[in-house]
Amino acid sequence: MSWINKPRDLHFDQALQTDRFELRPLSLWQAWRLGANNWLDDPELASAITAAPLRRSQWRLFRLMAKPNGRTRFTYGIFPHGSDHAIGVESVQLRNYRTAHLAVLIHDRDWWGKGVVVEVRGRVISHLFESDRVGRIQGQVEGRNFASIFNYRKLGFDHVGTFHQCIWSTAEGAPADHLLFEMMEDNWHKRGAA
Amino acid sequence: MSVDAAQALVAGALGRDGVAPTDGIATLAEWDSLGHMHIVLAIEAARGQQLSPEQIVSIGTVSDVAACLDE
Repeated sequence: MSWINKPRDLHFDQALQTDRFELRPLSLWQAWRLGANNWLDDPELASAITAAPLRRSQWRLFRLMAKPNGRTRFTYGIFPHGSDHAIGVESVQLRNYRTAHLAVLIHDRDWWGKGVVVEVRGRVISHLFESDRVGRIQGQVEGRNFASIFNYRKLGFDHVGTFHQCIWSTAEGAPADHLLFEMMEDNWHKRGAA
Repeated sequence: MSVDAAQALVAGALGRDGVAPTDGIATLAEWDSLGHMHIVLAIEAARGQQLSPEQIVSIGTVSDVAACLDE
């Protein structure tokens, strides 16, 4: 709870716009409601959050979900323009040293394969690097999550390491690897200039 | 030979008539997240075994696909 004495960070706690979406910062209550209403009935999505497809209680979701606090952790609901129906969330956790950890989940399957993550994450990354609190962005993904790996590659992240057989994959029924990706601020700006 | 095979594999996975060896994530609109999944699964089907995480993450162009088919 070391964050609780810090003032809210208004740079991160604001809505962002992309061509197709508005990214609205969610409160803890809003984020939990969104997850409870959209993720728990979908075993595949729930297992990504709770790491146990058969244990999909609202309490377990609350314990394991990214919890926005307006200081070091932020969760943006992804809303198509003109809609109040969120199709997913992008979570940001600020860590030492000048590092932001990203996680994304698109729960509306009608939007899968339509470039949502690349569009949303590109906007979030640019916004993160506008702050002097962030100089490095990292992400972690299961080794056979091909769509997420594509998204990191498309955005220009570097693969900087692999945790081999570090988690049990309920989908594969076998141990799974996790891939680590990194984007440094300089590389992001060079990429934008290219 | 593997470049030809890679071109055919990628074109088939993406539903295109053809692709160039230099084409990839940055140049082909059809090579999106679902297209990428189709390409990886097609490589694994052609090889008859799963790719390692390092091989999967190395795939970004048709030439990369050819290298995976050669290994």
